[in-house]
Amino acid sequence: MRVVIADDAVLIRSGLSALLAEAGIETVGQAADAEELLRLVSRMQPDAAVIDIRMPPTHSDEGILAARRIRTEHPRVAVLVLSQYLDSSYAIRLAEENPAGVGYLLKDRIAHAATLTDALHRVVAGECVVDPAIVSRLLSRARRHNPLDDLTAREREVLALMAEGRSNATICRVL
Amino acid sequence: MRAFRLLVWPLGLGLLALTAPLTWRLPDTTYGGSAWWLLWLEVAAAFALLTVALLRPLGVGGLAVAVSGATWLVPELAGWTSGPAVVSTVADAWSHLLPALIVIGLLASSRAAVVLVAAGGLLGAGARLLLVDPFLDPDCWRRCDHNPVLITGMTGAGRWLEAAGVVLTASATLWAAGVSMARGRGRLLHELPEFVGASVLAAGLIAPAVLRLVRPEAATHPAYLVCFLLAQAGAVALALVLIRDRLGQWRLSRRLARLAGALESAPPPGALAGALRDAVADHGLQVRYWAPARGIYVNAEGESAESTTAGDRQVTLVTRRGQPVAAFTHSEGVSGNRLDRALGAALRLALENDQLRAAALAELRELQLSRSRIVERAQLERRRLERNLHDGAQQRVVSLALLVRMLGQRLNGDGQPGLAARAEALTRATVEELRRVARGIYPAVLADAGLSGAVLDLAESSTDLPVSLDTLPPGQYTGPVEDTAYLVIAAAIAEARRSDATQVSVSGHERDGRLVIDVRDDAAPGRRTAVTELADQVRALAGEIMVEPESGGGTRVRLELPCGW
Repeated sequence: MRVVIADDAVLIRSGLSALLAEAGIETVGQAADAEELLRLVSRMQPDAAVIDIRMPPTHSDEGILAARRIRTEHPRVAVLVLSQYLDSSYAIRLAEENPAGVGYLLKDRIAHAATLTDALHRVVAGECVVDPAIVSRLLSRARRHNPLDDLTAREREVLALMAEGRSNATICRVL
Repeated sequence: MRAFRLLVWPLGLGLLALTAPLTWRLPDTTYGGSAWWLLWLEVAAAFALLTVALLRPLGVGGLAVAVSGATWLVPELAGWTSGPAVVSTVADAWSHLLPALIVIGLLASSRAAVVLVAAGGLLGAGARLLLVDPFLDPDCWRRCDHNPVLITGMTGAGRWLEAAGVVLTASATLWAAGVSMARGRGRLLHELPEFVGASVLAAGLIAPAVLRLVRPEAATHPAYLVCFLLAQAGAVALALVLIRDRLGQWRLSRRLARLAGALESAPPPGALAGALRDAVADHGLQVRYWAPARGIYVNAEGESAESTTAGDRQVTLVTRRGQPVAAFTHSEGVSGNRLDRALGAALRLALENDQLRAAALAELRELQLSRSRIVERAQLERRRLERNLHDGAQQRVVSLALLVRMLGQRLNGDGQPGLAARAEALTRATVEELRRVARGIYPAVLADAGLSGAVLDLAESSTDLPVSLDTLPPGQYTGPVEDTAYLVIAAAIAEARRSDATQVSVSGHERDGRLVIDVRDDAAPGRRTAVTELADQVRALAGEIMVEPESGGGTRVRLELPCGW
């Protein structure tokens, strides 16, 4: 698999690249901001782009905007956005138009090679990946009349896996 | 000077009374002989000049005009052939001094102009009296009492000196008139009739002197007659203009005095401007007050009001002991000087009263603005801190987690997996801790998704207390408003949790340019200190915060904030 990495921190870019190399994923380009990333993607046509949510110049949500542009302009390139924010609104904004081939992971997941490579493989396969921490936050939100209370523990487990964007086959395998 | 003013008329009238009957009886006087109404016109001009001297400010100028009025008929005595020869000569030479006196009195705006014009007049008159003397009769045919101060045999040089005097007077007059025109630009429209009257008068006097250099004077010559008429008409017109101005001033004073009488108690702010507008019949008149602490002009409500000098608007300052009190912006049809002079003591007091109020309001406004700026700065600072944390420490700890993980994989072979696992767990905990701290300092989602997005995330993160959201206005507000509203909602939810509420609902809407947010819960109000501690910040944005018990035993925290900050 060929990926490009966009993050304004060199340390993260090189670490991530090394980690992915160990898992047999080739990094074909690195970008420090959204513009460079878009140029790289259109030149290299990678299988996926791993994008930091906050990049220069405004350090707000360039990553999400860049990811959405890549999905419209290069539908064959999957995107995986890395973020420090647990807030579901970012993930929703990323996936609301077309959830296929996009992923939203907390940034510290990059220390888990398995989680990261798994997420990359899934977005490249066209799935939608949402970080488990965000899913569990949504599921554990206190509600006055919680429809989730009617579910059994097993059903909740399945729902959580569905919410993370896993396919039926994967859910079967995990369970 | 006051005594002089009182003396102008008696002295002037006395001199006139002396010269007029004499002139009357002279058969040879230049114009008097030709038509009786010309003499009457000359007498009217003399009276007019005495009136002008009375109405104009005192000083060298006033004195010069008074003397010219009193001696207006003197040149006519040149035709008194049966009288002493020296009288004819002095009377003849006087016609050089009259234009100089008029220019000094009415047109000269600088000391240099006064000196030059006076020099020209004296040179011309002196040369005529001492060297030229047109009445010298060497053969004693008609009169034998010769001019005793005449220096004979110098007529040629005398004519040159006389011509030099005339040229000096004329050019200095042109220069003085040019300077007053340049200085008077802007307020010229007011003083234009006065300026024109004075110029016509001066021209009527100087032109014959210039003419006389090239052709001998003759009463019947139309050019001399026109000049004579111009001078008399100019003097009369000038007096009429000044009388009209004085009457206008008097009427304005009366109107303003009546206005002051009507203001029995302190008028409401802005009323004074309205009354002044009516009194001076200028509906565009604006009154701005000086706010000394801020160093700007403000309106009656204390709002900054810049001067609008567009078009024909003029600004007149009202001062007290050198300090500005107010500035009137009015049309050129209203004389600023006249307005300033006409303001009586009562109106000035009312004006100062309004100024104090406007200045206090301006100060209050500035205070309110500075409070809101402090809130804004604090918010920007927290946002900056969160950014620094995110782009600095959080990034580094994530990199650290990456390194620890890679290190752990290598160490695995050395049989010490426990240590690496602990380091990994510690870095993961640090990452989560930092994420919580950064969010506590400033939730980035507030800037990225607005108030509704941030409050949604507040609700989602509550695992113990159900937080339901009703409609929240989707609009984006300015930083300070969103930040303050978010802090109040977060504090209200936290206090509800502390008061053992079992449910919280957040709703909001916009009404009349104000953002209204209600946070309701089912616990008793209690003290709710976290909410009330935010009251200062809310008030700094001219908002309100209220904690009220609800009928069912619950509590409602209501926040109202103007959206415009």
